[in-house]
Amino acid sequence: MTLGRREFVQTAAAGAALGTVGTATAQEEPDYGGWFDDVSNYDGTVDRRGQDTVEIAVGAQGNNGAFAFAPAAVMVSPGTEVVFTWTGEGGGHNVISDGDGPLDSGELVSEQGATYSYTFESEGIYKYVCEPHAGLGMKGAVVIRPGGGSSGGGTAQQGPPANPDYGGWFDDVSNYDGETVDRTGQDSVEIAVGAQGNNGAFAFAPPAVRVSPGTEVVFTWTGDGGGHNVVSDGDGPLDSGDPVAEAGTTYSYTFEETGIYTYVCEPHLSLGMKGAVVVGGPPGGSGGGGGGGSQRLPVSGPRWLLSGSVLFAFFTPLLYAATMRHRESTRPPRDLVDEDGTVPVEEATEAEPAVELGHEEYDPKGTAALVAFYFVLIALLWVFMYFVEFLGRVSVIG
Amino acid sequence: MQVHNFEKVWLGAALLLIVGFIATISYGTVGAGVAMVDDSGGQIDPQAVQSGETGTTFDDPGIVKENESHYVVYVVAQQFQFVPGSGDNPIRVPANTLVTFKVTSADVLHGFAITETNINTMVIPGQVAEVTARFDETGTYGLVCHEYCGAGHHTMGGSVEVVPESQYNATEVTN
Repeated sequence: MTLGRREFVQTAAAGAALGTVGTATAQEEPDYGGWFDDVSNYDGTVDRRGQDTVEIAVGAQGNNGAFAFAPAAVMVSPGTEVVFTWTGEGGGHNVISDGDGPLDSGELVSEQGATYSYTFESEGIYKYVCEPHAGLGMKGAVVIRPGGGSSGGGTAQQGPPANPDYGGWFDDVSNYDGETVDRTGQDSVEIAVGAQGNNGAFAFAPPAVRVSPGTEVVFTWTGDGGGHNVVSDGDGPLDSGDPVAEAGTTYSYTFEETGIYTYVCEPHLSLGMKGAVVVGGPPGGSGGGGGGGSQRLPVSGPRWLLSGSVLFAFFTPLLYAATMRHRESTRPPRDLVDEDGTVPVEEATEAEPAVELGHEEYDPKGTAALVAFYFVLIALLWVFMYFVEFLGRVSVIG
Repeated sequence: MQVHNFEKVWLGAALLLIVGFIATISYGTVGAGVAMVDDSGGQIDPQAVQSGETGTTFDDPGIVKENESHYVVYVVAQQFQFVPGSGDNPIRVPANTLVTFKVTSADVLHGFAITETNINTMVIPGQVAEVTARFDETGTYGLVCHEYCGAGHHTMGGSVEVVPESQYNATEVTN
């Protein structure tokens, strides 16, 4: 029973897409299907609609070097010319659409000031990468969507969807129960540092919280669990400095931009002391506990194969016992067994050799032929490998 | 101990084969001139390579003409490209001419292998790998990094274009 990775990803992406359908509005953050999971400088989609020309830097700082597009995700109006401008840093870059898309800047270019532009006419999400650095997270997306630059209505709707995809961030966090606590609409939200969890006072409570843009988030130290600090994972804005143990210490930060801000306590990161602040998104109550709960993984392939295998493995000892019992019961009949419990066996009589041969009188010709064949084979392979394959190619001669 | 005549024959043949193997390898070294990669390239500060302050040709890597029959190609390997070599900047060298590749790394361990040839060396930060070869056939050879160097290792490659001597002019030499 195997669950193909591709199938799983597709199903998960479909699930995520379905999950956002209910709350989708024209202004909402597009669903990139995990495209930006490994892009360190992605921080929500920048709305540049209503402009004729939009510039994207190629080789901006990010992804542990100059391996980023800035802004990574940008929303423009149809008919906008998007100009990619090389910073000249991070070596050679190019801009290539992911899959069948229209972008293709050609070979790698490292020259500062090089540009490549493309005018997008039809609506959609256009994902692209820099080929040599895609593995580092040098990825971007252009979203073509009609609408003006002003985004007056529906501020509360902007931001991450109802069940944000944390990308496994909370896998080792014991006090995260799959729910993002909704605190939207409040001016100030408090998060306890050193709350019970992760086998001690090594947790943030609540670990995942959703706030409205402009909310001041106040981290308050409980004084338990030793020194803690609050530092953004990656390039984020949070940094409370050196670990502090004193109860009542506070550190606050006001989140203006929508997005998902993950953070850790550096000394206790390995214990699972991690959290996330989701800024923006659905208004209070829409998500709720039900939707927030962890979804069951969809299983592809015949279910009976998996359960059958598990059951078979479970009952194998019983089957073994039954076999042994059967073997016990098929012992030889009692009248064949001797007093001491053994069964007498009749041995065959030893046959006299037909002819006696001396040491040199027999020649193993067949064996000799086989050995000779092997020698010829090895010699031929050697000649071909050394003289043809090795010396026949351009060699290092100094 | 009695040894059958047949056994004497194939024991002797096995010894002869071993002598033959050693003889061919000796021929490869002495006759054909096949050499090993050694430390003759010397050492270099990898951080200076990264910032372009080595005071050597590695600051502006490319091809240097020693004389009519010997060109030296300076290559900097870095995550995840060869400079020159990758992308729109292939290494162009003339055929039937001695070409020495001097390769060093600006960051981590890389590999430098030209496909369909025996040119193959590790590129160790701080060390200049030096290999000399002569290309008999013109054409485009692949250039690959064959030492895992990070998340983008699989994309690290380039090409070496071997052009006829007559078509190779000095203006292509970058230094």
